[in-house]
Amino acid sequence: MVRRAVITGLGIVSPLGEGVLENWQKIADGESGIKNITFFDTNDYPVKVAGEIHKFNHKKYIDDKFCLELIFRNVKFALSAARMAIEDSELETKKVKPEYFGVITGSGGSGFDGAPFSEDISCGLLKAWDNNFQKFKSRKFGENGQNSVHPLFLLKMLPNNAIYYLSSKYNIKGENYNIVNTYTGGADAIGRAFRCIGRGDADIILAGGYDSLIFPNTIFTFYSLNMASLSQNPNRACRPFDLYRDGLVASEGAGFLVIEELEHAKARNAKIYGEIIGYGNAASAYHLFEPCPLGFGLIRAMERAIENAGISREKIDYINADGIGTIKNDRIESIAVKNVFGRHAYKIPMSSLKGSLGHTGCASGAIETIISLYSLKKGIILPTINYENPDPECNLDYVPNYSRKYKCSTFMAINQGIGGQNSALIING
Amino acid sequence: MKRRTVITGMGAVTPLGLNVKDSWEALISGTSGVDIVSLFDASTFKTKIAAEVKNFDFSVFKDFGAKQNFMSRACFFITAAAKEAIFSSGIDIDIIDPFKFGISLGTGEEYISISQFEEVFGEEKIYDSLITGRHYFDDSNFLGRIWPLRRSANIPSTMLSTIYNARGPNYTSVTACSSSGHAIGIAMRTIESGDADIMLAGGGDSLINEFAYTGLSLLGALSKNNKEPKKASRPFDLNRDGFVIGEGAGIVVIEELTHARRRKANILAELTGFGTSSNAYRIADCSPDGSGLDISIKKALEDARKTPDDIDYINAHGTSTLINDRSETSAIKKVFGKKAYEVLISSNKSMIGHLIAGAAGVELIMSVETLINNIVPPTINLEMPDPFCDLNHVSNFAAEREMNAILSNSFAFGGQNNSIIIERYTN
Repeated sequence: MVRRAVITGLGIVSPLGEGVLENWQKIADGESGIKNITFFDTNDYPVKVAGEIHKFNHKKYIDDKFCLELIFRNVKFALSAARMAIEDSELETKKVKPEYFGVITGSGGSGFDGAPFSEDISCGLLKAWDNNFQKFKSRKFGENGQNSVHPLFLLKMLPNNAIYYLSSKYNIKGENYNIVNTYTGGADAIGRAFRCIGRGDADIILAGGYDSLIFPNTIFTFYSLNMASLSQNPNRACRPFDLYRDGLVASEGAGFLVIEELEHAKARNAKIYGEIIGYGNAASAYHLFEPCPLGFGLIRAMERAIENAGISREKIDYINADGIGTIKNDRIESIAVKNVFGRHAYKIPMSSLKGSLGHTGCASGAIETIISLYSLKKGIILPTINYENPDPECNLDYVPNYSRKYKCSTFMAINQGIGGQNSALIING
Repeated sequence: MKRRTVITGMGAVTPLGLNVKDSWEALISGTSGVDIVSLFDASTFKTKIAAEVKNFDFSVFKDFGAKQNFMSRACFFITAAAKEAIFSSGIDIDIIDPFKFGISLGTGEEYISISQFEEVFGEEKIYDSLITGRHYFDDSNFLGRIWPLRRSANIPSTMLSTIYNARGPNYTSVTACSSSGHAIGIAMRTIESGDADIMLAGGGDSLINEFAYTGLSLLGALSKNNKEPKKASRPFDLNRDGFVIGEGAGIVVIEELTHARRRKANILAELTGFGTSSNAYRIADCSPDGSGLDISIKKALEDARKTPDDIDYINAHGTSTLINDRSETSAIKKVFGKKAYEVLISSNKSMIGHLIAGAAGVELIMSVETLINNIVPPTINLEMPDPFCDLNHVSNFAAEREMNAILSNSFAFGGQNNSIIIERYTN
């Protein structure tokens, strides 16, 4: 007998703000978190806009000063969103059996972009420069450089450090995974949590995703692969499913959920936002970064989720789309949804929140699932903004520009990753 | 009814050999794969030794063409190990259901090494940007353009999915030193839940570069026994002074039992238990009393419905750092009680070094070989056991013993642990 997994706590940090309510309200009002890039100089840079998080007071959420010294901004978002989720769930973490309390994260990696000039290392690296040869030398780095780097830089780059800080703060000693599927990690974390609770490995799991894509090199890679939006106008840059969409907009943030076994939640009278009933993950096995034109992986992920939920596909009455705003991905997503739902596809409203939030990387699966769940509770679904010119190849109901009163009870959240990873979650409100 | 998971194929690239057979034979003869670092000039570093993969032919994948630009050293090892695993499993990729065939790998991000600077970004450009603080962007270097993508940890799992048309679940687990154990656990659970019938699971890593060496040295984790490299990795020995970085990959084919039987596969072992836990203690330490580690061992035993009495051998994490070895010993005593002093234990890391994200994958493979051959590989360099690590070590020479069930442990920086139990498969 598979145990039932319900959602009892929600937390979000995004360019639009902190917490579910603020995020939901702003998206409902058609606001966009995308602005001109300020983190680095974009004068000679092809991409001008991103969803940067400003004025975020992480000290409100993270008390440990040592920890703050040793984490990158993506982990700061993670720890803050996780704390919101725990507080929202009103869980008394001390009363939970630590070995049945787990944490599963989806992350984009260590939170720096792989260029050798990360500020923790740069000082030491300069000392490795050999002026005679105009080259960096390992020998010189060993001699002089090693003493000038941040002595604990490796702990900053530790890809699983968010799990560590969460486990030590909340005394979590059970199941833990850190899933790096660019960019379905957040959704996969929720899916794995659903499986873990289902089979009895844990009673409560803190699951979610966090990421930051706003690094000069990362965005440049998107640009090189023709994935980045080159728009100069931040408010109009990310236009999922619109005919004139021109790419994704890098963003950052974190979303965390408290996922709990049903009886456990009932026993402590927790408020229950919804129940996870299906999950599917599949690869398109097509290309290292190009999406499969026929959407095979995505189709399989959705079909597996529906099969797993044991419901008929007509039961699904809202789809939270991936809709990253690139020509190919949005088209493929529309094809895949039509393939899975047939004629029913035209009746299901399907919106992408990335017009407002940008692409928050591995956080997107979690953030968007949380916001959709909240929409379900409110009976109002949120729009795909910047949708002005219908694309004949994307002819579904994308809830254009204005939020809509709509009663729904079961939704599917889908995510496509750059490496061909796809995931689908089905949640009952 | 629980779906059972069995291992039907294995592939390894290790400092001891480029396939499972060579690695295993070197392992039971007590050979050390540790030597002076050749991948970069480590002469001025505090630690100058590593267990490097030797004589690996990087041209074997030249028919991949431009795809090779996306392959890190670790990715090459993983791809080679996967090839051996698929071959040894006898699976015909063309006739299995691609949607029920998935990938679950444990890897890490690629660290750039100084020797790659020119190729990836250009040395002078890096220098300029360090001086001016400005970032540079340049279309001229293809590798530089794709670097953030190439170095991301899930490239190997994407790579394998495209090579083998694996359209089922696809996961990459990144929990530092225990990554591939977590990946194997996910593969096992994925098959149990019906999401897949076959999973290619395991992992690989290569951290032999200036920055990883610096970072780990600064944490005091690495052995500095540069005079006698072959004696440097000495788990549970009183004179140990840290671990030795290794590199390589270990990949297994995990299959649902009835699927394996239907195609008359050679079943090497049954995967019966898996458990994870976190220490919630310190980021770069485990607690002296082994709390946290014991939970993953207990969970794996419960999952396999075994008691400590059923376990014949423990393939220890055994990194050769004081705190890890003692903590692991305490955890085993906590769970195994008196039996702790009877069950055989050894650490492969004494010979292959610490393969970081690849460690659990390779060690699982060596555990399967142990089970099949009834030979336990030794912990070499175990000359004077640490009195705190007073277990039944198989020291210096391999031991013959009948094997039925084996426990393999992996722990990590950050405190993510996993334990895996394999058993001899019987009908």
